[in-house]
Amino acid sequence: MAEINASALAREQYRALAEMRWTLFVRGLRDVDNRIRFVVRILFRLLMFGVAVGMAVAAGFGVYYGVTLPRPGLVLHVFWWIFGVWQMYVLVRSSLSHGVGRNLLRFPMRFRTYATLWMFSGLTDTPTLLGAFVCLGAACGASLADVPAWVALAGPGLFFCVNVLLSRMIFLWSERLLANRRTREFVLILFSLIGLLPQFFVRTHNNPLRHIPIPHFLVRLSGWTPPAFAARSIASGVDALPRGIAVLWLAGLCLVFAAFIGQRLHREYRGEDLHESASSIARPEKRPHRTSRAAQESMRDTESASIPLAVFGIEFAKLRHSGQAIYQMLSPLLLIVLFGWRMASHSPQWLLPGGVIYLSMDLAGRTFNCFGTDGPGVQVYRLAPISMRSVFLGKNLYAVCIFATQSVLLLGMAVFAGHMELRLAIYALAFAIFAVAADLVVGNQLSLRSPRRTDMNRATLQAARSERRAATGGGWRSLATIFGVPFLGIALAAAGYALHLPLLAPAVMSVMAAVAAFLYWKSLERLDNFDPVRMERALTALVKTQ
Amino acid sequence: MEVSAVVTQGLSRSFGDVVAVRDINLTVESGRFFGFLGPNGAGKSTTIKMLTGLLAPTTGTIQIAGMDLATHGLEAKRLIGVVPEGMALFGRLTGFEYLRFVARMYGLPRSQADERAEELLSFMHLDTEPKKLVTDYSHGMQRKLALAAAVIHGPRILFLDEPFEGVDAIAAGTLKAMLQRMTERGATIFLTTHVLEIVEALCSHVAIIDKGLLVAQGSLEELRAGVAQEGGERLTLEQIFIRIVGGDRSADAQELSWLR
Repeated sequence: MAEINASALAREQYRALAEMRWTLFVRGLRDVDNRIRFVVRILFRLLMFGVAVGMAVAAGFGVYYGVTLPRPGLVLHVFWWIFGVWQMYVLVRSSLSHGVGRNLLRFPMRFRTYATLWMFSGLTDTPTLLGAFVCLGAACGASLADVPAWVALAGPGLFFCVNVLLSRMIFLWSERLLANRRTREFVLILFSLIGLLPQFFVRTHNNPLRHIPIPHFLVRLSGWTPPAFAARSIASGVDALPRGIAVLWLAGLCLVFAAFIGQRLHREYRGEDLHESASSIARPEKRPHRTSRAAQESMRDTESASIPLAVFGIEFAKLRHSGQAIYQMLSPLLLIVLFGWRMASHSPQWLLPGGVIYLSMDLAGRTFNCFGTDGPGVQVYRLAPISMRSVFLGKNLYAVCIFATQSVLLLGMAVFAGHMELRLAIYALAFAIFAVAADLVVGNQLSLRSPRRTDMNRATLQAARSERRAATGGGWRSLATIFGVPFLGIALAAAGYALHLPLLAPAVMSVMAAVAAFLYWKSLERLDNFDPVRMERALTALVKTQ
Repeated sequence: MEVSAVVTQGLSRSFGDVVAVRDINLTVESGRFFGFLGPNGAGKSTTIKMLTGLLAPTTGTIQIAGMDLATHGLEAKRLIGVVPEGMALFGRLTGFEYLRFVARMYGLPRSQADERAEELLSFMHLDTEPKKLVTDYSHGMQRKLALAAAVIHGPRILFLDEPFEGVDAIAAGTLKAMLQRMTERGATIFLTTHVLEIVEALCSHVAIIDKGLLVAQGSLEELRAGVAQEGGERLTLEQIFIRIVGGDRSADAQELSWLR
């Protein structure tokens, strides 16, 4: 092998990685479904850009008026708001990140190269981009308020760096804590529930959080936090501390965080694999001493059980063994609590139908790629002497059970929220039946035509979510159904409201539900006649290298 | 004096309370075809991960071609080639693109990377469909591609984990010949496989690991001499292996009385 110095090697590695990523990106666009996803992503990014600009303008105004009025407390609020939202978003939504792939460590890569790639790998994620815009807005506001230019730039700039480094430091710290899968899943669920508590208190006890006295030491401690020093660097009236000291403090924090990250990354670089827990190492064998008679009885039990119930059992076992799957089941309800709670205070009668319509979107995502989590295990269904109709019945039963469980919990929420109307409850029930049947008809076909493997062992909840979203096969057909079914529901309800015909929506939806249910039953029969060659070709995708 | 290719001293790795590898002292001389054997879960993969710098040992030292892996990791990694666990292929690249990427990650200039990638694809008979994506390769083809990626930078020490699994007999023959030629030119091959006939045919020296402990190490003849023989019969490697690690596991099949 030709000798090459370390710097040249690093440059070559950066180029090779960039070219490889570009090749993968361009190749991904050859697929029509991927092109649609790309356009959707661009639209989402544009939307986020609009949000970012709005937040930046708000932060800029806040800082400007805080300095000129002068109301230093306002500047402090702006930075606390940025800090709190950013770090909470990272904790609750993104959980922990793997950073750059450890697969790269097999190559002769310098630590500096590895650390640089690690640091840059997540700089385009949503909270970082939003944070950059908001800090830029704060810097502009400070400049307009005649704060010395170097401070106006250095304060928010260093505050941005502190936030980026802190979020990454939390990742690395939590990686050690959450190396165990079960612990990780528990913490993810815990964080999400904690996120709901304020909503619950606001709703039920007239926001008692406002009346809880903050201990004095916490107030003093808050003066040593990044937002406090960012505010001091801009608004000189926060306290007697000179601006320069505040900027130096922020720079010092950056150095401390960077040193911590560097130390942790170096250990990772040296080969400390935190994700390999003891449970993955084979322990001395402890064979179950099941008698052959017991084994035979067990076999007979399995034979006597119907195939759909067996498939349902497998799906349920997958749910039990994965905290992420449980969280995914509950997460739509959490969002309903977060966003529907306030709506319920104005028009509680709409919480149930609105919630069911929202839940139907989750159901669609669940049914459009029902073999996704089976991976290579799908071969079992192909090899066993069973009909595809039975397999789908079991999988559909599972999806319906999840949807029904979510709906019952939603009903409980609606009852708790207060007023409910019978016609809207009937409408919600009819829509639920319609959505289930329509999603299953389309979903079963798409699951056979374009299945994709879903890796539910991804380390981050966010990653697992995007994995599932990306694995929703069928591209435009799945998107059309995911949004089309709720659109029909909303349009029908709106039509009844506009025409002053309160029974229109429940009546029409009931008919639609009956038709959809009939079509679903007929569609099941067609599953066994699906072209076996095409099915084989499609299901092979689940076994392939990603 | 030529330095040993791999030397470990007191190598151990624990995961919590579980000791996966315990106090391994291993020496592999340069130019040897070395077989590293053990039952499932014995600690082979953990050891290979440590030897290739992917996993830090809890205690002990590793020397690769005379260099301490802990302090000279970069230089040591340049000398080794490895087929990582799960092969670590990129499904959406073509075979050529993948090989070129790996070559450049090892610092080969672009022209040389292209040249070697083409040569290797041709050698492995993977050049018939240049636009085919790795995801559409058969399992055997992916194995061959992973092996090609492991050797593209001309390593002095090659770590192979089940390299012939899923590879057809003709290709396996070609690969074996290639690996033997590498050892003749001074390269060291560190081979892990459960197919003991392959080890017997290719390897001059063998080490056996069981429950994290190195239970045997030496040439095949030394291992034969170390195991008690009945009636002076020449033992195969499989018989040696079973005597060393599998003595208490032979009666299990009798439990499955329902199996016809």
